[in-house]
Amino acid sequence: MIVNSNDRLRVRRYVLALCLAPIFGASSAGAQGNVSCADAATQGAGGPDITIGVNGGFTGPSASFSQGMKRGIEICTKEYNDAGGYKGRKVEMIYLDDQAKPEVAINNISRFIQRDKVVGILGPVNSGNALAFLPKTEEAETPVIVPIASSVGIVYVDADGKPVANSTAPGAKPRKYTFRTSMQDDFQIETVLAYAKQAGWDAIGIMHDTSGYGSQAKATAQRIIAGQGLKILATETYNVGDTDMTSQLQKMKSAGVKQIINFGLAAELAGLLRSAQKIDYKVQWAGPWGYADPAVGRLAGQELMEGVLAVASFTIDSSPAAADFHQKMLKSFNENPFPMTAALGYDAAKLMLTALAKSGPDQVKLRDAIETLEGFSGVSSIPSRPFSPTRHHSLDSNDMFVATWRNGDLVKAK
Amino acid sequence: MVSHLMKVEVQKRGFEPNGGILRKRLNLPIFNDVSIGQIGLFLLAIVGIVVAPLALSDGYFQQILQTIAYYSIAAIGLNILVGYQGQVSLGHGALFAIGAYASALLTTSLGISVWLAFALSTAIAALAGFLIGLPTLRARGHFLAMVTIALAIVTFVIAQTWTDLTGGPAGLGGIPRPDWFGTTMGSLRKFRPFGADGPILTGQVLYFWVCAGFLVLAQLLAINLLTGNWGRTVSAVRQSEIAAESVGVSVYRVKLATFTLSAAFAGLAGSLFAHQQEYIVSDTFTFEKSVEFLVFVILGGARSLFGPLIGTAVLVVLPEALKTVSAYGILPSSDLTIQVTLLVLALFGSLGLFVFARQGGGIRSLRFVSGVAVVVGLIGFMLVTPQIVEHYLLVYGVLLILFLITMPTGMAGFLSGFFYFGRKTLSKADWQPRFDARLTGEVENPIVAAPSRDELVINDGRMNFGGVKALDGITLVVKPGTVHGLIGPNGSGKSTLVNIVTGVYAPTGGQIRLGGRRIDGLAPFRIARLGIARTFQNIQLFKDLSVLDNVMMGFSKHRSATFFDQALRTRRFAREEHAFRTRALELLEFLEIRHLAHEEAESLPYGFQRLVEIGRALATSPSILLLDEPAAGINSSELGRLARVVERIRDAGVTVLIIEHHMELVMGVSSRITALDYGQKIAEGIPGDVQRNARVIDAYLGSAEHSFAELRRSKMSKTAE
Amino acid sequence: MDLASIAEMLAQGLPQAIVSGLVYGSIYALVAQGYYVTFSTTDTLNFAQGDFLMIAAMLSFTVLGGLALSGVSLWLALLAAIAVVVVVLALMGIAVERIAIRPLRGIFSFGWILSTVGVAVILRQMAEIIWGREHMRVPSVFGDVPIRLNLGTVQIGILPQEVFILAASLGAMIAVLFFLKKSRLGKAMAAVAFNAPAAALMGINVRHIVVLSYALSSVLAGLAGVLVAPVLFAHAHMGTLPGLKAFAVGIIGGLGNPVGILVVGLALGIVEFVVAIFNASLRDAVTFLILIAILAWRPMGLFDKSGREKV
Repeated sequence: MIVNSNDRLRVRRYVLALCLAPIFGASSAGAQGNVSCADAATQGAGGPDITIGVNGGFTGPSASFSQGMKRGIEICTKEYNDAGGYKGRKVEMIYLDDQAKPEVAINNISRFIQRDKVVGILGPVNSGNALAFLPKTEEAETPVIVPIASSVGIVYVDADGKPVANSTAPGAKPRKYTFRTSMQDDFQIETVLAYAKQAGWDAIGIMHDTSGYGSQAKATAQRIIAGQGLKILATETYNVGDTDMTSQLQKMKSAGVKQIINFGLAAELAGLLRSAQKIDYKVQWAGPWGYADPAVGRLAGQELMEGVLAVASFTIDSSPAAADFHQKMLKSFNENPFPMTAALGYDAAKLMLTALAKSGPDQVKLRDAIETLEGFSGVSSIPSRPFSPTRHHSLDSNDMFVATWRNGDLVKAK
Repeated sequence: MVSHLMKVEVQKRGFEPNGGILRKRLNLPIFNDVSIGQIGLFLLAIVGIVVAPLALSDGYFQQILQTIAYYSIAAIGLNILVGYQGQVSLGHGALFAIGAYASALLTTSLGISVWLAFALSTAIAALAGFLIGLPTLRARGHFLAMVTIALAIVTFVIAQTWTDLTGGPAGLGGIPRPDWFGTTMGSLRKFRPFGADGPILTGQVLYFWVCAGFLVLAQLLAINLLTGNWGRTVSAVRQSEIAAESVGVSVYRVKLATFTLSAAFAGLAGSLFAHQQEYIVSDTFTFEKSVEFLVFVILGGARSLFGPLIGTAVLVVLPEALKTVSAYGILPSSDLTIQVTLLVLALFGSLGLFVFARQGGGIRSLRFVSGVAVVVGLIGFMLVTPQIVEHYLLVYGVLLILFLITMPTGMAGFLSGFFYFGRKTLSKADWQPRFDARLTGEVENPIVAAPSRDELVINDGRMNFGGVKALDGITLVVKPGTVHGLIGPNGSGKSTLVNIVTGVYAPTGGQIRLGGRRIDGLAPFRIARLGIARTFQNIQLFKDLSVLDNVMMGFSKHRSATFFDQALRTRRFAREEHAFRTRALELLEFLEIRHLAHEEAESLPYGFQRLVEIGRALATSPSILLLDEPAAGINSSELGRLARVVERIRDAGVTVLIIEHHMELVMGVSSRITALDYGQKIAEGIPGDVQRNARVIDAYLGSAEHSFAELRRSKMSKTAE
Repeated sequence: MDLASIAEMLAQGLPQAIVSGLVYGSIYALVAQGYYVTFSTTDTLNFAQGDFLMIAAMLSFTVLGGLALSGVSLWLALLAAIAVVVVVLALMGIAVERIAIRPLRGIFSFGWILSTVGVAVILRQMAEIIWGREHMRVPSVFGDVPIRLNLGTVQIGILPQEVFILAASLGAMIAVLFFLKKSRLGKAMAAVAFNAPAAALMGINVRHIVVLSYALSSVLAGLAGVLVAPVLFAHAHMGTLPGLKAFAVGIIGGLGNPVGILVVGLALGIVEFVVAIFNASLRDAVTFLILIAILAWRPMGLFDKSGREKV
């Protein structure tokens, strides 16, 4: 019924993607042609399985992100193992659910480290969970690649090891064993602001939810916006679970805000769009990739989504490799509801497996291999040399772009 | 050969259950009166705690063990409140959070040592509990449950929004872990504390020992408190607040103390949690945490000493086990036959639980089998159904309801029920009273009256309920050392009179004096401490307590041993407990029910229950005893005995005010009688005169009509309320 | 923040806050009436009430969505959804009384608190299994075009569905009040609430009345679920907060006072939205802060004057 209409939507979007692929493929950085995790596999005599831990919030509020990530990782692992794995040894991914709860994540991680003796860890989805467990993985010298969580302090810390909100601040350095393929908050914001400058935005407001993600992203945004000489007219918050934000929007409206940069999750983003419509508040919505979540459109309705901006490093039309990947996902799972999460998960897994081929199953060597990896190709706009000793994020603001919703599809904004 | 035999003989005697060496009690300055067997078990537990993690070199298991340890501490504290004291807290997650944040902030912002932080955060949580309880616990009913729901939500929101303090959802990091043996606790590095050849340890083991050490202390404290007078008092308050007040216990203070103590346990658990995690985030401390703690207690066994520990252990391990099974592909594919079989098993199991619920004897084993069937069926079903294995909370919910209905004593009760299989119950013949000779004066009268013999004066006592005058200006003087009878038809105000004298109601007018001192408007427990004891028309025993414990509650106001005496089991505490126990047994002997001392009070026939109430009241060493219809429900053959009991109470110097319908009894024992009707005194004098008084006869003859009027009146009063 | 800017904020935000607050407040009040109905007859209440609301919203999603897609008119589909919800929720209420309330009398005095919390946990998990974890949008019969009012400098908006919520919930509450005051059954319920043993002596079947009160209470929550589904998004955890807030409304208003509940419900709804003007993150906390304050001051609630003691 309702599911069917969604399916139809997806098919339509997919057809559109195929048509648009050649146009956008040329302009995108990084990926060209087909990308497969089979490329990372090496042949050999075989042996015991190598284990990698995957921690995500497969149930709970961030399930849609986590499930997308998991599927991306699953596809990559299958390609890799089918092509021979690591010298004939299979890689086994162990998926543990943290329900988006930090203390469960810590439990999972110590299980990975102490019981499963994993060589590396992929995850998590929630920034708060990452901040909670990373001290443990650093202590255990286990490399982690974070595919989804976007808070700056996950990767960059100050001299005392405390998370920072600014990766370019003096003294900020990456955690030794932590890397990310996710889109870091500060670069997402820079990407939005670059767009804003170009579009001549002059009355910017900020909204964010009170979750760990929202409040951190807001702090980062305030700093960058101030650094760029732009002014924030108003800042408002809302709770996860709120559906009527008319009070806050009323204030935004009376402050004269014309563009709102917003940090939150799908249901609340949809609530905001509907609340704004209720009080007849026409405003340009923009945000990091939360707005790339197709659930927002499903909940708010397509008309309200029209023209909403989201930062992306992957859309199903962003490159031939991206289009190809999207097709692979459809073939394996019959759907790809949140393509970007799958792409980021896929790239994170591919990174770790490619590095594994160079280092062998040793945690410390694996870390070094990840840091020095060259000639990499992924499905998102990840550069070919993703990391360096001082840079543990793979995507810079140059690698991201602003996408917009048009007729139910997320496409590159002009 | 011979010596060998003797050795065997000695050993056999030594380990005999009764009076053997294991049962030998030691006279220590603290932990007085514990037996060698108990110490042995305790040492065994300590050895287990020290050795077990060494055998499990896996740091992940050790982390789970730490988790079990600190959650158990919270559950033990919650059980004192929920199980024993009978108040529900749906906000222990908040107190846990307060402990965690206090500890984290003290160590990170103020640089206080972790060890000190454990103590301070416990105290801070206790203070929070105290402040919450202070206004709330004055009210009766389940208001604590309601306030604590609010507490849970408000605490969560504060943690979430006061980011300058708590870091909010972004978290509070860098929480230090204590150092010990030169290693940071909880760290994953391996070391050998006992030299190069010693066992390899990790910091995880050390922190487990810390958590387990606190758990042992918490469990010991709970055992010490709950198995003595403190636990008896707490249970008594749960079962009858009004009766507890009548023996001089301040219900409010008991509730406040219990809640504060329970909050302290939760705070300690939170503190241990914070230092295990190193990083705490507000998202952890949602309302669900509070519910989780309650589930630990209920499934483990509320009102059981070890239930919380058992429940926590099982329920912490269960989700981890389910996660393991689903994550590692051990899951069998979903086979419809297996699924249906397991569901049917669970269904039959729950049917069995319902059918065999709350029956004793051989039924217990059937119940046991049914319980096992439910658990195996449900968990098995989840395991073979990959689609729902992540919904293990569903199993929690089902088990919670099933346990509440069919096994309110939880897993602990379940296990102990299995052990006490052949426990003998008393047969009918055992109910007969014994030692009839005692009442004839052969034994010394054990009743101790209050040293001062005070006159009770009610002057113009009035009690209005809405517009209805239950007492309309009663003036009454009860002379010391007499038995004073109070009669009157139903609803004439007799019980109201008892209630204003004992402080259950504050009179709306008039004065009440005891030995010249005004007592009207005082709280019931204060009046009881001044020397007024009572029994109740509707029997108010502490039902689940033994007959002996009921009587021992009567000594509450004479206790001098403090909370700490009991927590440490000092000599003073043990002596006092022993002395009152002896005196309680003497009172029971006097009342001819000593042979029932260890029976549950509720299981006694009605008449005996009244005697237990009298015994409890006498234990307070009253100057005045108010007997509210003591003969109700007693058969005529026992009346004579009751009369003798009343006379001997008087002989011991206790003034008695007896309210009775049974004319033969009241006329026989009383030296003076007052008759009431419609809340007014209609006659007073010596028994013969009152019996012949025309108004009294009228009042009783008119009682057929009267009861209609009464009904009308009570309706009116209800509506007026 | 100086006074002038507070006044300015209020002038801008108050009208909309009142309108939105009344809508949400009426829902809290409606759910809280369910607490009142069972508490007065049995001294117990159903802590899963919020999750009953959730189940009703989910059911209305399925029925409305299913019928609307198969071409039935939305109005007819709404009626069908209400019918289904009334029947299913009444049955659920009866089941809860039978399984989680009745068997627990006399074991723990508070057993019902825990068992109904258990029911809540079960319902949430069942909903996740049946409907998944995604938020779902339930179409409104009245469409999504807001009604806008111009009050000089300030403009306020309200969705037609929200007008419907306010009207329907107030209507339902008034109907319930009349039912309790005027109908024979309602009077019987009042008698049981007043004095159950006496009511039994008068020939009232107390058992039936208790079951009826649970059914009625659940239907009220169900009605609230159908009403809010198009405004809140339907998902398995949508009922938790409204259930707890309604509970706070019940306690503050007095669980023996339906009019108090109505007044407090509407007032708290407005307070919430006014607080959100100043600090949105305190919006959920404010209800419970008020609850703590009130309970510290008047433990039996603001409007409950009975203060009945049972000795």
